[in-house]
Amino acid sequence: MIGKLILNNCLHKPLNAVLSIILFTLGVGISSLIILVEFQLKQKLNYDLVDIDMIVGAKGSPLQMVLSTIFQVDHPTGNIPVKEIEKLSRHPYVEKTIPIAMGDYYKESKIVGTTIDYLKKYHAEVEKGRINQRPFEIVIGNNMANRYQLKVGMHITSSHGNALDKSEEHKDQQYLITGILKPSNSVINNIAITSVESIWNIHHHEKDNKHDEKEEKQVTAALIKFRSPMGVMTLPNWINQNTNLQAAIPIIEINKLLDITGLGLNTLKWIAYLIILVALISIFITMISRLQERKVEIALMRSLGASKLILFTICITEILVYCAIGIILGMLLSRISLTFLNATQISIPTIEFDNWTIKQDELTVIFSIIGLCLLSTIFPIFKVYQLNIAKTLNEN
Amino acid sequence: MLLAEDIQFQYPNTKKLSYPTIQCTSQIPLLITGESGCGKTTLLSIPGGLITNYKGNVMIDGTNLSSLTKTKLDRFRADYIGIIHQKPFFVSSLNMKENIALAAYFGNVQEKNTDVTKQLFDQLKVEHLLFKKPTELSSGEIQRFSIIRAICKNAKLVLADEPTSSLDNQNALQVIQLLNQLCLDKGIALIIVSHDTRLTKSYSHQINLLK
Repeated sequence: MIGKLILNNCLHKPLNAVLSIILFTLGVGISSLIILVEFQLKQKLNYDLVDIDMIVGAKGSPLQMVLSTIFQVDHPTGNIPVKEIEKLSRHPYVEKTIPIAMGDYYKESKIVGTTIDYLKKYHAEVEKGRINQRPFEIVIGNNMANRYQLKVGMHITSSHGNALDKSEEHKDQQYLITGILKPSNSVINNIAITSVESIWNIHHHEKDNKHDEKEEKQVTAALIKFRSPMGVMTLPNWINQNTNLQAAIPIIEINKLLDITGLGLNTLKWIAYLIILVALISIFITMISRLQERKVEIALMRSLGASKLILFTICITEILVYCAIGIILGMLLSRISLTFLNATQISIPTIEFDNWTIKQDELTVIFSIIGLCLLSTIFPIFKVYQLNIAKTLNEN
Repeated sequence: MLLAEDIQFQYPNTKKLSYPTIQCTSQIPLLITGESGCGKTTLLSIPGGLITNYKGNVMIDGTNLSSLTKTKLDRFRADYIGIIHQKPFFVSSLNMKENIALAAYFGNVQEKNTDVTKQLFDQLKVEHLLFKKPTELSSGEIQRFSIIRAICKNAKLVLADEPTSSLDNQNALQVIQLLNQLCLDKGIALIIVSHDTRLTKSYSHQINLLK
């Protein structure tokens, strides 16, 4: 019976209820979306950075080099001679060096020339076929394969520069797809991987035709893992000061990027908190005005024998109903928005967001809202407690 | 059933109200009359447990009301007392059936008294009005629901405050006949306060309050 009373009271003034719920939904939805994007962005960035202590490439913007080499967004800063990388790999502080050769595309997806170590770093597994072993064999990331309907055994033609940049196709040489990778949350989901030799062969073959001159072998960059922390402390500075190469520490560059984007996210977060506050005020005002209207009904229920505790419970539950509906709808809104972001690829193309897990920060927001809702019931409860039944019933 | 002795009450900045001894037994209704402002409604609020800061003794079925804590008084009111207010207040978001069920719920009798309530609906000819909201009913119809609400929870004492003041002659007569009959049938002690002269002929046991 009390449940029915609470439900009917909540629906008694539907416009007020809808307004409060919309405000709650927006506040919770926006803050939850920001938390999800921020958390998952950091998680994914950190995942892609595993085992990469330093990147070495051509001089230019270190952030651009990190973004292009690790996350496969933005253009590379240039090329560097392989012999420099080989020299670096023999340094006692260096444990592992993975060369990266970029610049070629299949349609809009990147083709990365590298070694088997690159696939191992991301724990890549083959879903169909096998890993590429010979020149002009290629494995395709799961997302890329689905995007272009690519299958094992098909041949693809690469181009220098992506399709949007009026690229130049390497028509003389084609790649044989030997494998499709299993889906993963890492960057390799959206790219094609071949050997560095394949990239060299394609370019060398074309240059032979055009210029017939011998060129030294080059790659775009190299991912370096150090043997000891001394490497991080000494090598980047030494490389930047004494060679024609550029060294960058990815974690530092990414933190700089997150600091900049973090300002925007924080502003949005505060706007969301402001909306939640407005929702709380709206509910509080609705409750106070309803309390004035229902003063006689409350006195009536007291005269029928309802204890103060029952009436407090009714007051609190009514507010919590609005709050709960707002929280549920807000959480759904943030998840649907994230699905939309993924579907439309407004987000960084190589990053997909995992929708349905609830984050610690979201729980903090939810419990804070519930706490504030309960706090806002103090005044109505005080009014109910003070109510003079006889006076209220006799005066109305 | 009810004995109220030496009752005195004073609202802030007003004259003190002193009442004669009030005694009421089941099946013999008591009519309390008096001019407006003589304290009739206040008197009814005291045995109803709605006013607690009075002087004097109120015994209902052997229980001294002033000896009860606030929580126990709430429970006592729910279990023993049915009140018919001058203005028939109902919860506006609930229909009439739900309003009656709410009163029964607070009186803890919804299970055992279902049949009694159905009988009352039938007896007072309100079955076709059960799913209407309070604002959709006429004064006569809503006063009948007030009576059902007061009686449905097996109240031992029913306190009616001006139950006929807003009714025409025909409805007033009907309401009084219903109240008297129900009190006789169910052995309820009934106290009516009213300044409605139409009622004086219907009651042998009367007290007139002086201003």
